[in-house]
Amino acid sequence: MTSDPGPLVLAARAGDRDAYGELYRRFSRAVHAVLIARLPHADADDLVQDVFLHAMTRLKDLREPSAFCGWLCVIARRRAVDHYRREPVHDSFTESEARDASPELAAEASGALAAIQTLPEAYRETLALRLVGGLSGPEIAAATGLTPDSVRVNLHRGFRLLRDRLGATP
Amino acid sequence: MTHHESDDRLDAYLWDPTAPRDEGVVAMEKRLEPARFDPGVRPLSYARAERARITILGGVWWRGLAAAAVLLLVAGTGLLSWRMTWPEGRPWQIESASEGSPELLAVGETLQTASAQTAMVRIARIGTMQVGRDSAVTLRMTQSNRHRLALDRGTVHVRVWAPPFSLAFRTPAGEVYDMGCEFDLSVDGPTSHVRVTSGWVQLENDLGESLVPAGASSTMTSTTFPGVPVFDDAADSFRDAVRALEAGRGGQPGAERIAQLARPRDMLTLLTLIELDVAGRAQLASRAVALSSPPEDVSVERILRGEKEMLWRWRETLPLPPEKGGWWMNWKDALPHRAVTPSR
Repeated sequence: MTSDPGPLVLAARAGDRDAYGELYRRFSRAVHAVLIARLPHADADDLVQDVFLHAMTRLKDLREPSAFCGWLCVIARRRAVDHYRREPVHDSFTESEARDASPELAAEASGALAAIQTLPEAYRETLALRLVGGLSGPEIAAATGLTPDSVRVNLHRGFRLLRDRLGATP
Repeated sequence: MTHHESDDRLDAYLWDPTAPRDEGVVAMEKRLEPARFDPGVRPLSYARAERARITILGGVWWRGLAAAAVLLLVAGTGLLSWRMTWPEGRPWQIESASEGSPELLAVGETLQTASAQTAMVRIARIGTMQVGRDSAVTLRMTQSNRHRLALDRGTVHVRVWAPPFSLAFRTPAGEVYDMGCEFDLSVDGPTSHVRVTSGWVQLENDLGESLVPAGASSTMTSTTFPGVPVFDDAADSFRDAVRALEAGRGGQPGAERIAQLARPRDMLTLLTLIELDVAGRAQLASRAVALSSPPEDVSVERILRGEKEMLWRWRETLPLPPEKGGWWMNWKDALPHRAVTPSR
């Protein structure tokens, strides 16, 4: 995810589906993390495609192709807010939604997600991007528009807070 | 490991997942793994993308279409209003006539054509009138939605697109009203003859009224009920038998002949004859039932006893163009058309 997505964006804008597919592979986890920081797991899974489809129709509006991830995350945040307003919110994810996970693991994950969603907003998305999306600090900075220092602080404080809320020992 | 070193390791691994692992963070990652999104399991659906694209394009298309529809509606309403409006008494324009003929037809004036002369008159803004040879037509009145003429002799070919009864001709046999249509009208002494090619025409005199649809003709005299419409593609023998019967000739054998020759398309003719109380009505009704069953709530016996409303309900089931409310559907009559020389 670290290489410049600009050329892929330009190719996708010209109608190259493979290029857009590659963008999806690279950035869908980030989009999912942005969504899951705000919405239940099942809804977030479904909305990832919606965000990409919407983005695909708006690619021409993206002025700086290299900023694709940040732009995509803005769309995801807006989509999450819209969804929250319009749709009934589901409970946290069920067994069937936790792919290849036992009920116990699914319950564990559900508890952790619920705890992330209770964190202050500043930490919530940063932690979801790191712990669920697997993004690095610089990638989170690019996706959120935060400075690297802010990302560092949010990750550190957010993780400690999360650990405290889940009752884990340091 | 000191607390400080532990914090450094935590921060480093949180910042860079390729750095030496912090077990606390790794445990949390593992715990959240079931929630992780896998694009391999959920690939982007291009079918969904196509649908979305079509929907979005469709949205743009429909918005454009809606805007165009509104513009068209506004323009259409304005144009229609302009078309139907005419200052009271303003003369009509005579567009083509022989040299030396007047260029305008004013209220009270009569346009007369010689035996080798025709004229084309613009009927306010609602249509045109081709005046045939050896004809005399007088403009009696003109204003918005109400234009009245008199045809004393000769022929006219009229083509108008306007609400019913906007245009009417007085003839020696009675009144002829347009109902948004195209028709030929000829006057030969006490007899008026109408042949309709679009919409409907209503004939009316002191004895009643008769509606003539597109494709049919009718004849009217002042001393008989306005003529029974007969479709132009009917056999001459059928038409002759109808004309004889409505004139009080032919009697029962005439009715039998009509019943024998009638086609499904002649239902309007049959029902009009039944309404006129001609000889042999029962036979005509029997034939009509065979050609097109009446609605369940219509009783033929009650029709024969004189209940005209029943007859009208039956007539409404016939495959005829809509009458008064459907004038606008003949919009083609508003388009330019080649000149037609009225037939006599």
